[in-house]
This record gives sequence, C-alpha cells and structure tokens, in this order.
Amino acid sequence: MRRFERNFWLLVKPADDVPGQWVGHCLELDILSVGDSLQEAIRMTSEAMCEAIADDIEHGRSPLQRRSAPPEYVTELNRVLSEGRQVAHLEGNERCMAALQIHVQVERFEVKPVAGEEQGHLHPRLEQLPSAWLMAKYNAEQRRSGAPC
Amino acid sequence: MPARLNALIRALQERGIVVEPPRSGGSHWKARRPDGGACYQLPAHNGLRTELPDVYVRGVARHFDIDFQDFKRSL
Repeated sequence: MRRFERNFWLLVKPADDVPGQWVGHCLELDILSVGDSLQEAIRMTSEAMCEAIADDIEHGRSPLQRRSAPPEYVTELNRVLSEGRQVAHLEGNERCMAALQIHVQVERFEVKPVAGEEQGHLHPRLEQLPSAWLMAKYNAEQRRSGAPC
Repeated sequence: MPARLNALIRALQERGIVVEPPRSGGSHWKARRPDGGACYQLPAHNGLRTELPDVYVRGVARHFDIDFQDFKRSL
C-alpha cells in the first residue's frame, strides 16, 4: 500500500462515570480514547487513530479491516448530525456531544526514524475538517422539555 | 467505579495480551495479542493512574473479544 487516505467520524462526549472527563470515539475504526477536556479528547483520539493506522500499515494490514463501532454509536452520530447545530469552532461544554471529521493521510515511503526511536515508523498526517456539530447530551426527561445546548 | 490504566494493563496481561509502553512523545500504551493482529491504544494522559470510563473499557473488550462483564469484574 503506497498511500492511505480517508476521512473518519469522531463522536466526542462527556464520560458518564468519570467527572470532568471526555471520551472520543472513531466510529469507522471503533477506537476510543479519553481526555480531560473536549479538545484533549479529540487530540488523544486522533493520536490513537494515527498510531493504530500506522501499526496496521506497517504490518501489512488495511486499517479498514478493523471492525467498526456497533450500530448504537452510529445511531448516536446520526442523531447529532440531524438534531445538532453546525459550528465553526468547538468549545467544551459538559452538556454537549460533538461530531467532527478527521482527515488522515499516510504516505508509505515516509517511514523514517525520529529522535528516540530505534526504527522508523509511519507518521500519518491528520487534519480536523472545518465543520463540526454540537448537540445537547440529555436524557429523555430533558429532551421532552427541549433543553438547548 | 471507573477502572484505572494500571488495572486494565494487568487484566489484559493476565489474558495473555502483550502491552507495551508509549513510544517517546506518545500518550498511549499499545496492546496486542501475542499471535499478532491489530493493536489497541490505551490512553495514559495522566500516567498509569489514568481513569477509564466504562464506554472505553467496553471498546477494549470488543477489540479483544472479551466478555465485558467478566473483564470489568477483573479490574
């Protein structure tokens, strides 16, 4: 594989059981990570994605062979996209869920060692695409009352 | 009660899964079955005491085909 390039959906939301923590989830690869803010969760999930993609390619596997997230998470993403508001900048809000896309690009011939590494590894390039969606993270009771984000 | 990374690493190793520390500058440990297969990244942004919510632990269990309830009990 000379080149790998694809957009991935990330769903980012506050953790239910760890106060102050956010969880990021790449749905196409079913890869999750966590952070202490919305932006850190995006950064950590992006890093996990890049490391997994690089590892797959280095071992002769297509990253797309990974199982994608279970359907309930895709349903959640579709809900954010259809009911959320599109925003240009993401700001952390403990009541909100965010959906965004990350563009990942890997050039196969760019295996090169960096300081501290014994051997070269692929270093995927990634870019957060400009649009994102925000939606209130609410339960059924709040939904009936129309709580805004 | 959320799990901590050090407990997750121990539970994975008890199941024969190989766990490696982060590369220089990285924030994730890497877990993989010894017979190969895709790896899974374990977040360590707060070191080995990083707290991990259930939704994350479910993802680890899915990746390694481990029963979640059984896995959670071992953490």
